[in-house]
Amino acid sequence: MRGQSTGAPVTLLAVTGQSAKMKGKFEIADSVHVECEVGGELIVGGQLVIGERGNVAATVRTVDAIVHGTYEGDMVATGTVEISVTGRVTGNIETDSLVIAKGGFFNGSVIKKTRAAAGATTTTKTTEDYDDDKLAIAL
Amino acid sequence: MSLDTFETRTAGAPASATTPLLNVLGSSAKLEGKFEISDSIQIECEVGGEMRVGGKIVIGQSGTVHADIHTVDAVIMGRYEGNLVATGDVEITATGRATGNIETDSLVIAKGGFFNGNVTKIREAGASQSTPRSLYLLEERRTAAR
Repeated sequence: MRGQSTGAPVTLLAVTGQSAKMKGKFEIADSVHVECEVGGELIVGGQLVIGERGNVAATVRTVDAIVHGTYEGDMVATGTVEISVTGRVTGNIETDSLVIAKGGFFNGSVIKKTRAAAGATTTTKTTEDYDDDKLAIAL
Repeated sequence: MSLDTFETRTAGAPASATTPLLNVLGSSAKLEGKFEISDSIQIECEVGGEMRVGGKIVIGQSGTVHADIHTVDAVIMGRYEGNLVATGDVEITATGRATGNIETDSLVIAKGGFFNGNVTKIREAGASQSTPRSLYLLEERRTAAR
């Protein structure tokens, strides 16, 4: 219907207003920006951005993820996961690339995707690896 | 994209009512579930389930919605199937295809627009509605009636 190669991305769904809450199964071919409450299951073929006002409690499969808000759940990202200074993440992340900005909060475990796929014993990093970031919050 | 550019972008954008709460971009998307939206929503993809909209729902030309909807206003430019309760106006444009039951006091179907189903007047169905534009009041009455 509409070409993927067209420069400006097409808005498929836009929710405006004061508040919104949605729960269910969302399959998104490209990208999504969340500034509201979302729960359930998200399958994103591009980038998931959880904005500062965003609150996501869902199982997520994505390529890239940027968390500025609150995320809770299990995430599998084939690309990069970034937790920004305002980001709060609780749960398990399966990815090869995780960036946590100073001040960003992460509680859970990280699994390296390539090793998990290779069937080798997964190296699970505990939250202790990110104590520096936690300290930054405390200070 | 680096974190820095995102931080400045989000910091620069005021948290006004016009900032999208949810923005889906790309070639295709399929969403199913329960949606509670205080204001408005524009749909250009596939949506199913149940929706409660406190303002206006716009189903765009490429939008396909199979859902039970409670809203104030509705504009259907794409495909809609389900039960729709609208305390405000319902408009089916020339490109709109709607199937199902519509409960509203105001329905406009443009020339070329397609509608298959029943229309019920809210005022007749729900006796005297002092505030017909309040979605939640209507819902409370419905549950109380059960």
